[in-house]
Amino acid sequence: MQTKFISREQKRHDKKGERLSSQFYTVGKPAPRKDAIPKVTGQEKFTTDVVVPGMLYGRVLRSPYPHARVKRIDTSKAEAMGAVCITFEETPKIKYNERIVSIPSATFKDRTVLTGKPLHVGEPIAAVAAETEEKAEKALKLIEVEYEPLEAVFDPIVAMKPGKPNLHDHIIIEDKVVEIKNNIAAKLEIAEGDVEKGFQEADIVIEREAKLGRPYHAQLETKSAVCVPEPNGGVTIWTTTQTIHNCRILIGEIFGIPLNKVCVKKVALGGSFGSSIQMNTILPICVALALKAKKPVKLVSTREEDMYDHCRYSMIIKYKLGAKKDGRLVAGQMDVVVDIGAHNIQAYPLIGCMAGWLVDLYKIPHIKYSAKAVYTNKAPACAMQGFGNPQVNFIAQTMMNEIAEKLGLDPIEVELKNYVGLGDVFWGQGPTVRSVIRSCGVEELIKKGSEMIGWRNRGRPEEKKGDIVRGIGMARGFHTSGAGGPLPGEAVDFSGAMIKINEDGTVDVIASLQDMGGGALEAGLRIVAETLGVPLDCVELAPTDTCTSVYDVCLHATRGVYVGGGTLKKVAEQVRQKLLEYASRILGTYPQYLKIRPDEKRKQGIIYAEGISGKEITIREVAATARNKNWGTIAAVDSLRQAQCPPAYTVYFLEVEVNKRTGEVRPVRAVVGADCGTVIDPIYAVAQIHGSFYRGLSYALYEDTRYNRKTGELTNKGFLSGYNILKAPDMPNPDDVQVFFASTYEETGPFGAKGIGEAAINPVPAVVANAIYNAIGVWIRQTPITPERVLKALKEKGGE
Amino acid sequence: MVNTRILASEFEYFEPRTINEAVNLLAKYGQEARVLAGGSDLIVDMKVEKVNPKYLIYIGKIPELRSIAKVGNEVVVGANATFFDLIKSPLLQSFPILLEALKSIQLEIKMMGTIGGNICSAAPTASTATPLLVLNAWVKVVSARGSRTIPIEKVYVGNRKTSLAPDELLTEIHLPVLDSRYGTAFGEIKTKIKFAVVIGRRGDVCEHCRIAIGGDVEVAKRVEKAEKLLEGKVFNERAIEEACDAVVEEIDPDNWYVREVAKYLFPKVVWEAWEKAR
Amino acid sequence: MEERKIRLKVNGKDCELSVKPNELLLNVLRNKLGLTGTKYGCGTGDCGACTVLINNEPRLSCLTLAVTVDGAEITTVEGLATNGKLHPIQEAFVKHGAIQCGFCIPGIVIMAKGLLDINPNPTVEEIKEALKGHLCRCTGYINIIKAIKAAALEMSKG
Ligand SMILES: Cc1cc2nc3c(=O)[nH]c(=O)nc-3n(C[C@H](O)[C@H](O)[C@H](O)COP(=O)(O)OP(=O)(O)OC[C@H]3O[C@@H](n4cnc5c(N)ncnc54)[C@H](O)[C@@H]3O)c2cc1C
Ligand code: FES
Ligand code: FES
Repeated sequence: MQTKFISREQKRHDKKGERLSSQFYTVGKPAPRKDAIPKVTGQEKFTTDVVVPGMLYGRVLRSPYPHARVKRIDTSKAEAMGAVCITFEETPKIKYNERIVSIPSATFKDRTVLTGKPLHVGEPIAAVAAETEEKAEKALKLIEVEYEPLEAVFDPIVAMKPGKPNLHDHIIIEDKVVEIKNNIAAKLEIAEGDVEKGFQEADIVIEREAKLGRPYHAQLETKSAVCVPEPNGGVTIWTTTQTIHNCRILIGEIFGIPLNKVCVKKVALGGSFGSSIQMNTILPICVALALKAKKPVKLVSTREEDMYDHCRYSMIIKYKLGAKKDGRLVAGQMDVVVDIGAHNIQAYPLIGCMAGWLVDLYKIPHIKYSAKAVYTNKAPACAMQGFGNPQVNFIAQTMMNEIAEKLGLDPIEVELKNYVGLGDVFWGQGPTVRSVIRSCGVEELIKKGSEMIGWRNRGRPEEKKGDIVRGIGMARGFHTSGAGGPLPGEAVDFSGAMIKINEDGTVDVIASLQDMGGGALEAGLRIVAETLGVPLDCVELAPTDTCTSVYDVCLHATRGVYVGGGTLKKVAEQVRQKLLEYASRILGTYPQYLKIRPDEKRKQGIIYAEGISGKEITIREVAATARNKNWGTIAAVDSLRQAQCPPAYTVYFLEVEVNKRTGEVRPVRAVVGADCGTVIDPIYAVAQIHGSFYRGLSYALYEDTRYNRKTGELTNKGFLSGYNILKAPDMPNPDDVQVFFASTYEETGPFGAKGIGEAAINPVPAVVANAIYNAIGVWIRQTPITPERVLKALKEKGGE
Repeated sequence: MVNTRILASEFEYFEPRTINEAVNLLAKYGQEARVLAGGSDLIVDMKVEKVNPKYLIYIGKIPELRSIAKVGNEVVVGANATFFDLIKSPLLQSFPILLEALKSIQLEIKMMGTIGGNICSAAPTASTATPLLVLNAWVKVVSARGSRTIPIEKVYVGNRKTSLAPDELLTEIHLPVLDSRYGTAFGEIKTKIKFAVVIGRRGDVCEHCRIAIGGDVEVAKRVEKAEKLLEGKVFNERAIEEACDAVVEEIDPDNWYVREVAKYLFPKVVWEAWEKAR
Repeated sequence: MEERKIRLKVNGKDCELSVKPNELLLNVLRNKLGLTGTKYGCGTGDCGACTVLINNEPRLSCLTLAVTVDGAEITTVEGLATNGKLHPIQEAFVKHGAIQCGFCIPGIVIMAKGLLDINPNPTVEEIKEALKGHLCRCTGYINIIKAIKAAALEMSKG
């Protein structure tokens, strides 16, 4: 098959971008990250490492039943041994939703700090605190609880049937009580065009179903919190979170503490992947313990508790897709049932976003989408890298491949005919967050990637002989960079930062944006250095907390570089303006003729008037002069909402080896192309892709949390030992994973940058399935694609 | 929910310096005591409250339990030799099948886990189980009542169950050196299925055959029925197929997948052993 | 439970401690000696975050009773750098972008030290195999493997 590349009008970097990129001092240059040294020497302090003098250790009593009512609870024995105890009877009754990224009208509140009606195994009922973890453990065992077990439902389809137990009779939205029927937590229907007409126009229509599993985040640091009650009635907190400010707002609300007395400190986070997009449920428990004990309390989840706390959204997706003979899509109809578990953390935004991911993938004139999010008695699902995008991508991209195969077309050709790209409207966060695409490297990525992998020589499944065969697949994905847009939308999306020049010319950056390890803030520091014209060495992240920093919504939605970095650039520009103004006073020139360049040797930014000798001054001299002459601190603080949400794109080509006798699938080689606009940090942009590729493979091939339908427990009891996960020996060798970037420039992003993180995981499950098809000629649309499932599919095909 | 951050269970701890001291402690505390070797199974079991011994007898300070020596036509391994001790021991190089089976153990566990602990845990998935079975290994156990020897296949009596009495200490594992004409092979598919095979041949005929199965089965064991089907027969596809059927019978019929992969793996392993036999 | 006195040499320093028999080495290092570089990730041997060197062998401190290592030499991630100079393995991790959230890194770096001590020139396959007991959720292991390989090369130069 010959691949034709349909060229579209593509605006490459605008002039400004090109000129700039060749002159970047810091952006795009490899340099070790600043937190690498503390991390590699064991000095970095994570929440779990925080020690406060006199602190107690907390432990949580969790329900052993998937659905029950607590009839009686007695903590007297635990108290008699000196432990501080709290139960659902005394903690605040206010309903909350731990994730407040959405605006209040889109935030569904259905849980309390502790509960007397647990809805999943592991739901917190009571908690204790004592001088040692051992003592707390003993006290926990002394709490007597009498449960009345209630009927539980584990299957979302069953849960919707009449007569099944209702998990929640009502929930709270804003201050209104909203009734819940048939366990349907949220639903959404969207239609554009006329699908019936569309399917009639189609030459080929296929209808498929995909089932996607329920992986657990498995972030390496379990969810943790430390809380110190302060004499003023407030609290100081360290916690695993992607958003210190939202934790603060929620703690203030739940405990009725004015926000200026809630100080949440930013602390290194041992991975997250969405598991801490919200305030972790253990945080209010820790606060309640500390307030009652009037002593600091530290609460660190065990791995099992953590695994019972959150997971990815599992779902069943039905998709009907119609195309013309030439591969152009005409109609699509998708029906989704999401199994959200026991609480609705963000099902409503999820199903909205998924509608977006659907229309953002391909241009389909007639489209209909419906989704239901259903409560079940399992651990609540929450955001996990990709937020519904890998799931939609999985069914859409595998079906697109299938249609291409059926029509005798090259999947690449079909892809290029249908993709949403430059000039098209993009839904960054569901129907309410839309903007126009201004940069797109899809064509470039597909062209280059297909050559690198040897796409044309991949062969057809029926030609491949032997027990062990190889196949190459392709899939394409994208993700929004942030949740900004020209209209407010249903997601809060802005960042804030403060930057100040110190008296020696160094720079403090005070940004409440979190970094979960991906390096968003490291990229942010480069953006600051580049904007100010100082060496990277001069710029440091200041220790930050909610009291001394301005609001940032959350590190999620691949917004770190685009929105967080964009904000830093905006604030740094204001600082730069001030610097130049002060410098011009000293140098006797006009600020608009001054420039700044970094001097690595002197470890200073040098302000100079181009071409005029003698008119030069270091930033240190400017800052010192500003102090000595009482001009004030050179600093700025501001917020930024991006009016766009540009998509970052990725294209994966993957080669797998399939053992037809055992069903084992081994990824052996990958070529990954990414369009993240300007690459701010070349080492960590690649590393982000490595990590996403890994997690995507593990999602596709290994991970799932399964439940014992009798006991409601996880079949692995919450231990990592029983949780299938991709380990190093099953990864392709480093030399067999090639990553390259598109030469795009996103004019609305800082120095032309967009996001990357989630875009890099979204197409991975699909590319695995497509590669497996190319190896063995079978489509497998259930994740994880376990050896058992592969073997079964092969047997069924053989038996046809 | 248990707390794996700590070891909540409480016990009295002993650190005997000799085998004698150890067995006397076992005699005294028997049922309520546990031997602690590398701890890689026991500490996990205690953390998850599967076992809750009142007395813990740590045998890591008994030097003689860690020796590896050649005695006559046998290599004698102390129960407390770690996997890594075995891997680096020159004496063990003549048991490639055992070393092959140890390969897939992760580095830290190679350092911590002991052969004695591996045997006494009696997991059907245990790395040493299938090779020890086909090597005709036997063990020496000692108690205050005296000592006895047990062939390895009589040690594994059930899923994670051994025939050792609570007061008995496993001290030695005896590995008879194999006839150099025998071919051996080991194969596994993750923890699903493991096979170890020893074959002696004369021309086209399989003269001697030992087959052990482990993995996702009730207990690791020799499959005598399959051995009989091969012994004295011309070694060919048909004979292997028959033996394979006998092997698969050992796997739970509900365990569809393991049965399927066993059918794939078993012939590979016996062929490999056959080809190595001289 | 009665406490016992044990002596350890931790990162080159002798120390005498009093511990209960059920205290895990992990918690003794973290809580009693303030060496919080070594992490808890699972407590059941499945993540490798707690790996330390005990008499130069990488072992899991979450499954090791402190009393059993009386008299041993322990090296934690805090003990690798000498006189403020990073160990070549640490240098390589920094240089090759092998560190993201960093929570797994202490365990992996220490394991790598143990690995290179017994196998100074491991193949990529051997490194992958040695990483089997280590969960890193961030990096996909790719840069970690590269870093260990590079460190081996650097160290062989002497
Ligand atoms: C992360 C992880 C990975 C593992 N991977 C593998 C693997 O790949 N392959 C594998 O086979 N196993 C594996 N295991 C299991 C375990 O490491 C092995 O079974 C190991 O050999 C146990 O030895 P130990 O010295 O640690 O035993 P311990 O845990 O100390 O003891 C195990 C049991 O044996 C008893 N015991 C020990 N020694 C004696 C003795 N001399 N006399 C009488 N009773 C005794 C103990 O009382 C206890 O009941 C793994 C374990 C973990 C935690
Ligand atoms: S904490 Fe020890 S291996 Fe995970
Ligand atoms: S760097 Fe985050 S787990 Fe490894």
